[in-house]
Amino acid sequence: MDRWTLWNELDRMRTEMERLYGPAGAPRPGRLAFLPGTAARRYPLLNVGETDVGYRVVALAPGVDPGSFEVTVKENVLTIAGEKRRTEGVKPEEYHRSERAVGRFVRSLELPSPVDAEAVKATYANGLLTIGLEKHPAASPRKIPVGVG
Amino acid sequence: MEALETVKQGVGRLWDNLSQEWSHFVGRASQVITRFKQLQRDEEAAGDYDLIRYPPRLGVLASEVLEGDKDIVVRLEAPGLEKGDFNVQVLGDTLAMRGEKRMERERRQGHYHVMECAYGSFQRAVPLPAAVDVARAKARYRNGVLHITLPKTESGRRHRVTVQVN
Repeated sequence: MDRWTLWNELDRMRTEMERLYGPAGAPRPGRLAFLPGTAARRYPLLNVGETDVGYRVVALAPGVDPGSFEVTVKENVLTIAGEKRRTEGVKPEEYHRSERAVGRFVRSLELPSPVDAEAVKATYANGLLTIGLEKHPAASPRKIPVGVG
Repeated sequence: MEALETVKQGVGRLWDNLSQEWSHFVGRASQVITRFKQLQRDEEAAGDYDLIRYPPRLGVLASEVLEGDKDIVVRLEAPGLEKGDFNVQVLGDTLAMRGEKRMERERRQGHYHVMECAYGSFQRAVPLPAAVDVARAKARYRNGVLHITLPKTESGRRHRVTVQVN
């Protein structure tokens, strides 16, 4: 007869988890496309690209009221804030499924070099907030000629 | 000893309940996690940049399903697409939403430092709570959210029945 021990029980739990998740263990769970919140600061999800002259930040922000965006820049720190509002006029009993999150969000991002705060362009289209930033002139690499003496 | 036996049974039962709930939860939650399949043209365009070659493959497309008196409204958060990138079908009592999120649209020169957004083709299916008239279905895409309005068929509508109390 099998004797009950805590360890057997834990082993059973582990086997069960493996059965649910597959033998490779828990997969890296997918991240929500958007989850507002000010504590974790992991949203919105971003892509950050760099060219010779500047940076391009694209944030996933579906269904956000464009008027609520607050994009600020200080030296090399870019902060994106905004608010996603609940759909109005929906009675609770009408919901069959509700996976969308609402609320305020803020995320800061450190860029590799200071940017020109006067030359920041932000646009919102198809749920993407796209921010174009130019590197601060003092921060761009300057080629220094090497004299041969 | 008897007390120990009772505790054992209690823990066993608790675990059985918990694992059952857990399976149920995983079953439901895994519908939300969506796998993005790489598009051939994105792979070709990526070149040698690893971040672009291997962007995240799992994304979560949050949806909501609302049932009003006449319509069922489904909304899907899918930022970064254009309306032509969607293919929406009703299959029996399921709404299937397919789409393609193309990296080539966003890609410019230069390189990436951070890549958190998933790219590729995806599909998401949600069960519909009532029968719908597909011919009168409407869809629009605004601010990264796909809105689908599906009018209910006559048989799909709820009829109010008065219960007599004696």
